[in-house]
Amino acid sequence: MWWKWMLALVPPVACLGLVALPAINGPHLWLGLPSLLWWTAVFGVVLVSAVLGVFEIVGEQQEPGDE
Amino acid sequence: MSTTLTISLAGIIIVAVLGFVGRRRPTSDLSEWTIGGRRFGAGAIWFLQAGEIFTTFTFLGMAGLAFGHGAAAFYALPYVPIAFMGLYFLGPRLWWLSKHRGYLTQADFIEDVYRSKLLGTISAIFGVVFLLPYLQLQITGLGLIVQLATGNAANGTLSMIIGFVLVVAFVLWSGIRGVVTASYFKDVIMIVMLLVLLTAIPNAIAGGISGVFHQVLARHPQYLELPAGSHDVVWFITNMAISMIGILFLTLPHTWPSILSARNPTALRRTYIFLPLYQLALTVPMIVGFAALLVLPASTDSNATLLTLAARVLPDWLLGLVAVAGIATAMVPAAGLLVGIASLLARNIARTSNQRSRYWINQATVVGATALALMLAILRPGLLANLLLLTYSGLDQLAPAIAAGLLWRTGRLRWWAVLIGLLGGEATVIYLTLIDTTAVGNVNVGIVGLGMNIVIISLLELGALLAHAPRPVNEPIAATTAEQATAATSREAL
Repeated sequence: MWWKWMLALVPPVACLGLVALPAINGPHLWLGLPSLLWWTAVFGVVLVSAVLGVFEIVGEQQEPGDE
Repeated sequence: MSTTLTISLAGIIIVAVLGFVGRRRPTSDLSEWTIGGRRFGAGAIWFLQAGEIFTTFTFLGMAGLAFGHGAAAFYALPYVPIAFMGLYFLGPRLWWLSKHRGYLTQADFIEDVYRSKLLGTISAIFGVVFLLPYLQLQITGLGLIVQLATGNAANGTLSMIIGFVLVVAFVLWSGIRGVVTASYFKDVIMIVMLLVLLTAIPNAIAGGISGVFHQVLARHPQYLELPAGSHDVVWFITNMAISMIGILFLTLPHTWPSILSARNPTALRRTYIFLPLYQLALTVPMIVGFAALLVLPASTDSNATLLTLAARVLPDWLLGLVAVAGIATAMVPAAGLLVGIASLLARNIARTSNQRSRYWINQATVVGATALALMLAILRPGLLANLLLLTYSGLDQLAPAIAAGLLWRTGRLRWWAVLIGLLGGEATVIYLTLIDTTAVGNVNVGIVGLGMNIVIISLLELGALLAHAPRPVNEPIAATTAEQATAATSREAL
């Protein structure tokens, strides 16, 4: 169970806790896009879908009323 | 009549027609009207929730925020997805509670969990008062889109009136089902038009997306990092946090029907897995905002950024279609807001036990709220501006009540402690927003209000504990709808 909590914490910690790092929050382009845009899009958006996809596949979220 | 205006008016009519076809026969059942009888599958829920995410603010405001403050606009990307990660777990729980307790509104839940009609009524009043300016924002946004696309202010006013008379009509007829069918059109045309904008504007200005950012790096590098001024790192993190809390704990009352209307928890969970990716669409108006930095003077109205650039590079008919996409981002969320406002007023404020009276109060609220917001949008557009500043931070003060209710159900917190905490939080937010606007620097005032709210609740609970005060339990709330009456029979089993 602990690994699920650790996994779930990655996006909020990355987005709320690490955006101030100069390597991320600076006038840098990574592959032609702002570093901060990459950071928020990858850790704050794409990774969330990936993590939830893992949770769904693991399949421990069944609730009463599920099909 | 210009091509752009003709297409814009046609778009308004298409959205309304799709709203009408959401229901074949009228219904006087408030449960059916508000949450579609809890029968929506994952697809419908996905479109409903997507409809709430992408409003006129995101369509026009994101480009403007990037144009005015550069990288600060990126705060808007992660907060919805991260909140959805929590809702993946909380959403099914809320759905299950709502189904078995017969909730139709946010205030139903608060009232039932804390066994307090007073707390339910006050939370509903806050909901209505803070959502009204948000409704006006959608109306003003629609007018602004048509005005900017056609270059004529009179066209904007005419479109606001036509658009929102039709929104009222289809909401009265279809309720939430109309919001769903209109959402299908809204999201499809919006994605197509965003792809058009993403292709056309960066190519015309800098030879492509990468070209835009390389030129911004060369000419305005400060826009690629969080600035030192009013939109600094503290602003970025606290705004992201308060927005995330609002979505996660469903503090905006109009977001409840989209969860309660799900057929089962699986439909909700599947929505939360895939909907975060939709948030990537926000990057398009942001990129347009950065492109605007290269060609528009700094004095340009930030809200006009996206459509000003679109008018420069697109033919009239395509500009008309972009305007239709923008119009849909006003009409569809406004319809959802009306469903939320009307159900709160009819169930949790007016409080009549007569089903028919409740239905008519609900319908009258749809008409009255829109008429009020439309009149203010046309005659006094600035009147609700201050209230709009309070919408998110003010409604977020409901987060402790909802969070405790969802995590612990009933019996942990006393209703009066929650109520005093809520009022303390609201007073703090109002003071910091309207009176002493510099007291907390760039920290979002909603966060400060939430801190005050939680401290008050904790101190009152501690005091009650030390005084050995019993946890007050009011008399059970009487079932007020046929659905609640049915649900009440199953409560004993829970």
